[in-house]
Order: sequence, then structure tokens, then C-alpha cells
Amino acid sequence: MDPILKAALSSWDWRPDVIIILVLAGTLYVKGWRRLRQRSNRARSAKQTNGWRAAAGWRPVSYLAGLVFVGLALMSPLDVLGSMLFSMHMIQHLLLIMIAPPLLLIANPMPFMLWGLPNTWRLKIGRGIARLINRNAPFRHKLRAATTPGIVWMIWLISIIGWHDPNAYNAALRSDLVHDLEHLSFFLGGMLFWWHVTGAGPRIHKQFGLIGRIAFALSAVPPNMLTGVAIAFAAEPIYTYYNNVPRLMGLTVMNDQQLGGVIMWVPGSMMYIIAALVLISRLLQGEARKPALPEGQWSTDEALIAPGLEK
Amino acid sequence: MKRLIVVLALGLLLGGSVPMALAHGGGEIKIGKEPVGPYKMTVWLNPPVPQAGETMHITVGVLAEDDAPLLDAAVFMEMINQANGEIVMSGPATTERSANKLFYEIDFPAPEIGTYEIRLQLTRGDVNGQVAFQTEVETANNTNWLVIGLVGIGLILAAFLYFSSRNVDLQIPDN
Repeated sequence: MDPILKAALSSWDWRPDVIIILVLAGTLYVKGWRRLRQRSNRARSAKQTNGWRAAAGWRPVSYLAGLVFVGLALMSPLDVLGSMLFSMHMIQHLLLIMIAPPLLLIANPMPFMLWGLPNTWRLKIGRGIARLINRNAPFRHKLRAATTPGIVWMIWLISIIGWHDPNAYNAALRSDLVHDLEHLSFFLGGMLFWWHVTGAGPRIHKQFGLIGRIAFALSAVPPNMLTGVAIAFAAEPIYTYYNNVPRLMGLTVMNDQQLGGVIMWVPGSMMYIIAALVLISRLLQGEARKPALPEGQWSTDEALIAPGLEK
Repeated sequence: MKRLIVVLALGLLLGGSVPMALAHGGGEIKIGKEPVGPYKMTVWLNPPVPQAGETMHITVGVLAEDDAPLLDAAVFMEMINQANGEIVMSGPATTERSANKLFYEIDFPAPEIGTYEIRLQLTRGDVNGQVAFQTEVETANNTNWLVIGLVGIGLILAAFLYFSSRNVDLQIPDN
């Protein structure tokens, strides 16, 4: 193997803080999922449910995959080589904003993680959360006001565009603390954004219908695409930090910048479009499940001439 | 489970105490692509202004003629006190010590307050050359602003939770 490639692939940064958080989150989720699965199985065997399963098998797969992507983004060569290649840094951001958050949230982590706690803790924390987010709690109203779709969209937008400012970006490469702050804001911004798209718990907002969720997912495409296009078509290096580092794979600073811009522009925007398509398919499945109209309603002369006009 | 939580919490505390400099390299660029024979050297210092006793982290990038990383060179660091010319710290910077195996790195504790020159000697075959830069070492400041900031955020959050949840009748949401 090429020694440079070998060195690049062996550049892992095993961060104890990240490993511990990921292991703790994964353990709580899987433990909670198993407990709820057992309860769900008992209820099914006692015919207390109509076959619906809260703890479906795909949920831990999705959650653990989300954690793996967070781990890859923060500890794999992607992170380490991000200090040499802008394009690697863009892939890392893509994982933190667009891949890990939806995978974590479609697994609906809150109830499963609560059930992963020891009983006394679960009851205490569960009561605490119930007290905070019950209908009359001021905290719920404040949290809801602070996380409306419009505000969340703005937070997401500021984190995406703000960190791509050359000064902020170069500062993140110079300081580990700023770099961690950048990643944290990307991840939290992504979690807030995908919270509305996936409809995961806690559900404190007014019901956000499927069409609203589709529009919300698609609203991320234009700013993401424009930022990617602006970077890809820039006439000179925007992020001067890379001017002094060794070059990999024969990529010049400009080639690398163009590649990074294209990654943000195409695969980055694609993730939101895929989410919108999934939601559209759910919308259409819902339409397909609706019972057909009785013949008397659609076979009248008026309805056949101009369907819907008679209403 | 209790034992697991205790172990993880202790691990988290220990993990959090690992010096930042060990994690990622970074720092302020002190020398940018300075020619040494046919090669070039780039040097970063983290933190940019070290304090006495603090861990200093030097990252060195060695670029071949085509700007690709050069991995089989030897890089040796010397830190010289400008006041008396004494070498106060020396040692090899290696790729084995770094998270990014394409860079040469060395960590060492910052010496006492003063002005120092840091020399980095590059050797590869017949090529032998060095780059150097000056740095100040300042008085140790034991204020950990990160911990203070985190504790502050925690207190604000706790106060917010406390005042938000006061005098509320418990009602389990029905949705």
C-alpha cells in the first residue's frame, strides 16, 4: 500500500470523551429498546395490542448507525485529514448535519433512552421531564417558542453559513476548542432541524403535517446549494489555512476547494431532497389507504365533466 | 447498571482532562512552507502563546518537491533560551506521536517565563537544514475559562429549569 495512503488511513483520533458519550448513549438506547420490546411482546401475546410494535427492530439499527456516523465524523481519518483537505472537512460536516441526526431521530430516542435507565432514575427523570413539558408548564411554552420551525431554520442557516466564513473556518482549524464548538453547533443545529422533519419526541409543537414537513426539508436546499456553488466557483482560495499544508492525492488547494463546494452542493442538497421524497411517499401511501369514494359521488354528470366542481 | 454509569462518568471526567493539544494538532502557524533544501516546512505552535508549565504542542508538515507529505525524514526540535543561549528542551518530532500520521509532532511542558527560539532540524539523506521562530512563554494563569464557562452555562440552565417548573400542577400530556 502507498505509504501516504497507509499513514492517512491510520490517522484515527481516539477521543475518550466522544467514545464514552457514544457508548453511554448506545447502551441506554439498546437496553431501553430491549425492555420495551419485551413489554410489547407480552402485550401482543396477551392480545392487548393490534399487532403494532413500539420497539420495532429497525429502530436500534438506525440509532446505532447514527452513533457510528458521529464516531466516524469525530474520530476517523475524516476528522484528522480535515486539517489538510477542505473536501474531507465537508464530508465530515455532511455526516454531522445531514446523516447522523435523521438516523438518530427516526429511532425516536427519548422514550427508549428513558427506559434504558434504572427504574428509580427512569421514574425520577421521567417525572421531571413530564413536569417540564406538560401542557401547562412555562418551560414547554418557552421551549416551543424558542424552537418554532422558523427559528430552527434560522439557527440551522446561521450555523451553516456562519462557519463557512473564512475567518470562522480558519479559527476552527487553528483551535481544537473552536473546532469542537463548530462541530457541536452543526450537530445541534442538525438535530433541531431534523426534529421537525422527523416528528420525533418530545412532541411539543403544534402538529406539523406531512406537507409542512416536506416544505421544511426542501427549504434547506437553496441556502445549502448556494453556499456550495459559491465555494465551488470561487476564483481564489477562500480558506487560506490550506495554502501551507502538504497536498494529498495531487489535489491543489483550488481543486480541493472546488471538490468540497461540489460535495456541499450536490450530495449535501440531495439529503434534504431524499428526506422530502420519503415524506412524499408516506403522503401518497396515506392517500392510497383512504377508502374509495362511493360511485354515486363521482359518477354524476357534473363530477365527470369537471371533478371537484360540484363541491 | 449503577457500576457501569459510575465507570462511564469517571471515564468522562478523565477523558475531559486529556490536554486539548493531544487531540488534533492545530495551533497558530509560525512558519509557512519555508524551503529547506528541495523540501518545504510548515510549523504550527499550540497554544500560540504558551504559559509556564503548560503542554506545548509543535506540529511540523514536511512537503516534498511536489508538495506531497514527506514521511521518512527526521525532525529534531530544540528550544533555546534567548537570555543565555541554553537549550532548555530538545527531542525528536515524529509521525508516531501524532494523531495525523502525515505530520511530525512533539509535546513538552513549557519552561519558565522568557523569550525562546524554537529550531527544527530536518534531515533526509544528504539534505540537512533548519527553520526557527521565536516565542514568548508567559506567566501561568490557573484560571480555566472553559470550566468556568461550562459551570456558568450549567447554573443558568439549572436556574431556568427551576423557575420554569415552579408552581406547576403535574399533568401528563395526553398525546
